[in-house]
Amino acid sequence: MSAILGLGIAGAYDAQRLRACVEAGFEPRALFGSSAALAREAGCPHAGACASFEDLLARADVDVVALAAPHERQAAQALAAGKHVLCERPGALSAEDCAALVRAAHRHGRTAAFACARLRAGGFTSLARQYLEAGRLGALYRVEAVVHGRPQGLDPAPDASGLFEDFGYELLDQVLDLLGWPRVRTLCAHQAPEPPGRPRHLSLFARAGRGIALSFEFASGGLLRPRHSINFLGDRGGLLIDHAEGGRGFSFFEEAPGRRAKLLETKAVFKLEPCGSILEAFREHLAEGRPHPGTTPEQMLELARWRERAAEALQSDREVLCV
Amino acid sequence: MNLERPGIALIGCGQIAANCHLPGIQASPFALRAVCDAERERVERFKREQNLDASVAVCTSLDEILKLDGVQAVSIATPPASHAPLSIRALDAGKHVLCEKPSTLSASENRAVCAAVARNPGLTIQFFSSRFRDGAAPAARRFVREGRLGVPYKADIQFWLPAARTCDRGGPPWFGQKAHAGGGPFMDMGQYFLDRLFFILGWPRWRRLSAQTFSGFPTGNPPGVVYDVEDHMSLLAHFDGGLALTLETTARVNQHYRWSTTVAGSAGTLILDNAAPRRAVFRALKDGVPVEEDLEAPESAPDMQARLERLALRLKGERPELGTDHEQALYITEFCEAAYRSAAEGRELRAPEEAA
Ligand SMILES: NC(=O)c1ccc[n+]([C@@H]2O[C@H](COP(=O)([O-])OP(=O)(O)OC[C@H]3O[C@@H](n4cnc5c(N)ncnc54)[C@H](O)[C@@H]3O)[C@@H](O)[C@H]2O)c1
Repeated sequence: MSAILGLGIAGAYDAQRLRACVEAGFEPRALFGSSAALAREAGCPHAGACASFEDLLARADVDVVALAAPHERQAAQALAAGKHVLCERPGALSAEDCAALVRAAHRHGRTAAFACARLRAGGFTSLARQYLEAGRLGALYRVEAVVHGRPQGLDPAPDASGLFEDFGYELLDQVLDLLGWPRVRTLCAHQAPEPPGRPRHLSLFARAGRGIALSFEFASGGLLRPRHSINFLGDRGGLLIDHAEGGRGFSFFEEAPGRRAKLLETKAVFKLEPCGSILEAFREHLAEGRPHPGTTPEQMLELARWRERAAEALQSDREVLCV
Repeated sequence: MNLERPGIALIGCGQIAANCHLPGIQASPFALRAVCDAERERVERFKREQNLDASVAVCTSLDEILKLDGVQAVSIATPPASHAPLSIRALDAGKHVLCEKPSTLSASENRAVCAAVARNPGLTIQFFSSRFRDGAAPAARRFVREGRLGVPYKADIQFWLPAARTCDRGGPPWFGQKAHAGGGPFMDMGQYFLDRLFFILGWPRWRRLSAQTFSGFPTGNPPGVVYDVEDHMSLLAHFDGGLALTLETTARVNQHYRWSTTVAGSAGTLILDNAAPRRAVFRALKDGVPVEEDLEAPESAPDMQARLERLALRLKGERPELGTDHEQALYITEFCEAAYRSAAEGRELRAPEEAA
C-alpha cells in the first residue's frame, strides 16, 4: 500500500477536522455530505464531492473511509468494499452492530478504528502501561477511575446522548486497555435521577477477572470538586494518574512491608496529545504496519457491551451477571 | 439515687479507656465507682497509673460490679466480641450502658441488645460510632433538612490510611481477628462514617449493595497469630430516593491518604473531613460560580464527656439526643454484615425487607 492514503469522508465534517486529517498524513479525495467548498477552505482542493455514499465507495483512490457519525450500515458497506474505516464518534453503536463489524472486518481483511482512544495517547497512560507490564504493582485488586467535570483537553461532544458518548467511552477505553480488557463478572450501576437541569452522574461497580474491583464514576456538571484520576492498587505497589488541573500528576508507590509505601516517582505535568495523533497513528498502522492505535472493532464491541450492561443494570434495578 | 452525682463503672482498661473514657468520666457529672478488666494485673496497673481514688473498686468481671451499690451506668471499653454480652447483662441488671464501637459482631447480637432494651424500659444504651456526629455534622444535617443540597443523589466515604494496621505497630492482635473484631478497617473506622452519613441524611433506607474486599498484605505479627480481617473494602450501595453511596476503607494501601465524606445534591455538595470532625465545607453556586463556604462547627466537649452530660440530664427526666442508639446500631451492623457477605459471595445483596 502506498504511504499516502486516500481518504473518503462521509457525513458533516468541519474545516478543522478535515485539516486534522490532512495533518495526520491522509489525503482527502472524496466527500459525501460535506461541500467541496469546505475542502478547498481546509486546503485540500482535490477532494471532490460525491453524489452518494456508493459513489464514494466506488472510488479506487479511496483507501480509508472516515465516518463523521456512527453508522453501522455505512461502516459495514465500506469494509465490504475493501476500505478501512475510521469512525469519529462511536455514538450509539450497539454491541450487535459492533459484533457485525468485527465479523465484516475479518471477512474482508480490513480494519476499523473508533475514536475512543484519545486518553490512551496521554503521556501518563504509556508510563502506567510500563509499570503494569513490568509487574511492579504485583497482583491488582482495585482499580478506580473518577471524572467529575470533564477530562481536561477532551472537547465536549455536543451530540452526546449520554455520559458514555460524552466521555465515558474514552475513560473506559483508557482503563480497560491498560488492564488488557479484563472479563467482567458482575456490574452494578447507579445514575442520579435526572430531571432537567440535574447533573448527570453515573457510578459503575464491577467485579472483573483476577479479583479486581473495578469502578467508574462519571459526572458531567454537578457541584463536586473537579477530578480526573485513576487509581491502580496492587499488593506490590500502587499507581495514581491524576489528570485534574493542579492534581498530583503521576505517582507510583512501592510496597514497603509494615511501613508506609515509598513514593518512588511523581511526574506532575500532563498534556493530552492533540486529536491528530490518533489519526496519524491509524495511518501509520495502515501504511507502515505499526500497532493499531485503538479502538479496534473488538474493543469497541467490549465498550458497547459495558454500556448495554450498565443500561440493563439501571433499568432492572439490580446487579447484572455477565457471562 | 444521687442525681447530681450518679455512679459509673468502667469496663476494659486498655488504650481507649485511658485516652477517652476515663478523662471523659472525670470531666462529667458521673462519679467513677469501679474499674474492671478481665485481667487483674491490668486493672490494678490502671488504677495505679491513673492515680485513681482509693474508693474506686477494682473488679475483674461485670458480676463483681453488679454487687456494688451506687452504680447507675457502665462504660464498656473492651474489644467488640464482648460488647453484646456485657451490654445485655448490664441492661438486665438495671444499668444504663455506654459502649464502644463497633457495637457488636453481628446483626443477631444487635437484635439481642435491642430485645434487652425493650424488656428494660427506661434504660438507655449508646454506642460510640456517634463519635463523628459532633463538630460540623449537626450543621451538615441542618443543611440537608433545609434543602440546601437540593436532592442528595450521591454520597462517598473515603478512609485510606496507607500504613495504620494495628498488626504492623505491635498493637493488640484482636484488631486483626474476625472472631474478636468482627472485621477490619471497615468495621473499625467505616462505622463512624456510616453513622455520621446516616445521621446527616436522616437514616435513609438502603435497598441493595455490592462489595468487594481484599486481604493479602503480609503482617508484622509473629508466626501463628491469626490475621483474617480485610485490608480493603470497596462498595456501591443504593438507597431509597435515588441516592447511591460509594465507600472505600483501608488501613493498608500503596497510595496517598484519603479521608473525606462527600454528599452531592442537585443544589450543593457537602464535603466533610474524616479525620477532623469540625472541618467541613459546603459547595454551591454563587452567581453561577461554584463557591465553598466553611460549615459552622462549634467547639464541643470531648464525646465521652458530652454523652455523659446528656445521660445525666436523662436521669433527671430530660430527653437530650444521645449517641448511637440500639436501633441505629443494628441498622449500621446490618449494612456492614451485608457488605461482608456480598464480598464473600461475590454478588449483590438486597436489604432484608427488600428481599422479603
Ligand atoms: N484504641 C483506640 O484508639 C480506639 C479508638 C476508638 C475506639 N476503640 C474501641 O474501643 C474498644 C477497646 O479498644 P482498645 O484499643 O482500648 O483495646 P485494648 O486491647 O487496648 O483494651 C481492651 C481491654 O479490655 C479487656 N477485656 C477484654 N475482654 C474483657 C471482658 N470481657 N471484661 C473486662 N475486660 C475485658 C482487655 O483485657 C484489655 O485490657 C474496641 O471496641 C475499639 O474498637 C479503640
